[in-house]
Amino acid sequence: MDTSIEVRAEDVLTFEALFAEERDRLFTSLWLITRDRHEAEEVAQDAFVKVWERWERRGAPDDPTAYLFRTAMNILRNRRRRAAVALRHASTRKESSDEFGAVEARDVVMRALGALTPSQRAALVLMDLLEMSSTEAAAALGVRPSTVRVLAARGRATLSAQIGASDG
Amino acid sequence: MDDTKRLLEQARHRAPTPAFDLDDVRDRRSRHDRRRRVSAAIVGLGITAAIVAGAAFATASVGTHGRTAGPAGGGGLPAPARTVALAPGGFSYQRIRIESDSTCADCGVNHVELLAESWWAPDGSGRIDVSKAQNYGINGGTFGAGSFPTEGDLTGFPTDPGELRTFLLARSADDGASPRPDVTPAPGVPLEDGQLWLAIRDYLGSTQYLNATPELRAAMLQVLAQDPMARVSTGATDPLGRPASTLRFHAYDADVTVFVEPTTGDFMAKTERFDDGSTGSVIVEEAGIATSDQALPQGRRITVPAGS
Repeated sequence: MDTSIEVRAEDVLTFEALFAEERDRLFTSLWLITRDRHEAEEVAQDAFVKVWERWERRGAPDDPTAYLFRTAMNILRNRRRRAAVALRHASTRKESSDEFGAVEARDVVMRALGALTPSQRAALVLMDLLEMSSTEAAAALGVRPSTVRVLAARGRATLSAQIGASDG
Repeated sequence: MDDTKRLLEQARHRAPTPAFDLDDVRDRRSRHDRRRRVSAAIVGLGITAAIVAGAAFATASVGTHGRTAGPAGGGGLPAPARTVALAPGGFSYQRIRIESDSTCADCGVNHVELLAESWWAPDGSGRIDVSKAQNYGINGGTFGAGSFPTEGDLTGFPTDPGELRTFLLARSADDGASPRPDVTPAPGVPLEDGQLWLAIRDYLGSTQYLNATPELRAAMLQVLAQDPMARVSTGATDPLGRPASTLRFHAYDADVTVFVEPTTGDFMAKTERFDDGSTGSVIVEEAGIATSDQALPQGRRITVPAGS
């Protein structure tokens, strides 16, 4: 059975442009949130696959970049949910593969980010780095806008305290 | 926020280079397609077997299992006696009080409170006066034409409830202009109804859409009231004791009550109690059409009763 993907030229060009434009930005955002290179790459690739499939079925989204990030956050959320369930059923605690650890000790910024929860990091990355509105970030994260604002506010406060402590 | 952005930018520069390229994504997609085809074949076989096995019992079931009705909802609101239109030169005025006590694993208990007045004109000018803001991000000030802070332009939204429902569902669909995450509505309620509430929620008492006109808000409430998930009651009172109709439903992990002004059909208040124990309320203490961004509305439609 031939399982190769036949892609129309105009789709390749358009999707390729999105991929070239957003690959690094999406991966970096996911890396900041997950602190795990492998997970960030997995989620980013799955998100691109979903966007590509949707592109072929129904054409380009109105805002492909927003759609891509929203899809990635949905995937990440679902993976985290499944992982939490698996962890509850596991008899031994899963060791974290925290890739920030190696550089945190000598890097105040990374250490400060490591003090945040994943949800706080996600809220900050979406709102402060990617400059999404709280409504857009809430839609991407599947929570209420007020929750995103709270997460971001707490994250900023923690970051500020961490940086202040290291300065003092 | 600038400091945070600077820190995040610094962190971003420490990120490794991603090790995947377009070919990896293409391969992954091929694997997905292959798995889907295999799954579809297995499901097809299962369905065939189920049809064969179930045929013997079908006649006894016919007529007893239709679509589950919504929870006594969808009756609609009484038609407003009059609608309030925002004429050129007028300002849509609202005094809004927002309060919530939210809990979540990462943020603990958090009290949010806002008391603000807003004047919005169709040219995108106006004023926001913030009396109190605790853990709530909002910028007050006076805004020139086109600079009033909103999350989006609502001028193209139809105000006929039927057209508006279609418009909102298309807009909030997966490939629409403002897609929303799926939600799980109450049992027996179609998924699109949960999405409908998400599509409407932000326009009712949210400071992100102070540009929703009274006419549009009333149309949105008519759409919501027609929805199977909404239980409509008349002759109720809102949290301030004002006469109101109510729409009650459970959506997006919350028991929601929306209070509607009976004469104009406009939004008065909303209370939410979330499954995680969080609570929230939005109360429009006063609303109407003002002649300037310094004036209070004449012929106020929604007012706080004396002694509140």
